[in-house]
Amino acid sequence: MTRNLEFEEIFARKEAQRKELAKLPFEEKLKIVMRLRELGNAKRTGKIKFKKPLPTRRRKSLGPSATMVPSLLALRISRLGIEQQKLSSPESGLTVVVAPTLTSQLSVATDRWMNHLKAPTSSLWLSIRPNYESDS
Amino acid sequence: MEETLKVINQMQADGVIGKYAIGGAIAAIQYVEPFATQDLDIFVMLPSEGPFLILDPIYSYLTAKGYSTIGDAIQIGDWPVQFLPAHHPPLLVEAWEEANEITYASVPTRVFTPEHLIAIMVQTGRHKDIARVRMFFDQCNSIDDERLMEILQKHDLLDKWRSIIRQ
Repeated sequence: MTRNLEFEEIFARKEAQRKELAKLPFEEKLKIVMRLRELGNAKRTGKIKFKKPLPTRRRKSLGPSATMVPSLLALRISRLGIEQQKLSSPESGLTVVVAPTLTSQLSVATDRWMNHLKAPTSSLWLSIRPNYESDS
Repeated sequence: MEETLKVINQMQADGVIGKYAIGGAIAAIQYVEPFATQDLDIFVMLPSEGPFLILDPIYSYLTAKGYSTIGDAIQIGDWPVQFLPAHHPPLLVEAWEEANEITYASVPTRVFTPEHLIAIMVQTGRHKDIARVRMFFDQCNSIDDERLMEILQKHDLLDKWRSIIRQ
């Protein structure tokens, strides 16, 4: 119950953040889009690539069903060829569709990616690095 | 984007294109949170020869000015730009005609209204469109519900609309 409440709270907080992003001036929003595009291009040209799914030990900490979620995300990303920028955008949270029973876990899983859109700063992108690795 | 829009406005001033409007993802981002997209969709009425729409004047004009093509787009400033015909379907023609006039960094331009963007997404009906419809209703405060219903009804999209909101 406590865990579900936590999920709800996190989800509500992220929804609020997304609404704040929607209120940004058009110019600021397009700066974020540009940055997402650069990141996607870097992925395409092989400068950065997806890392393997999160280790089991870490996934277990998300809850009983949560171990499945990163795999499902990875599977879908792999199957559809969703690029890195998509994964880090709120859009990915909406395009990844799984069984309703996994919704709360999904919101947490996707929450990681949504997190990165909080502010268009350089630290924003550094925060993605635990999930990706550089070729260099 | 500022440079890109200035070039497009100059194309209009030089008579290469007529009235234009921004559609697609960039237009949506005017109203909702930013998300990833690759290019800028510019909807224009193009000259036709028989059944064919002619993009050649646009390409000739821009390549003569040193802009290069990338796939089906032309790189103008920071943005790959796709010039797309606004001739069909009627919903698209209406969206192009009734686009909102805005200024971007003091450059005037036109962007599809949120109501038309939603109707186009309903018509297109891909998963990402349906997701964006929801995004509009969660985040955009400027949707004119009455106008949206008029548009959906006029373009025979009410059934599709109902099936989306039931999901």
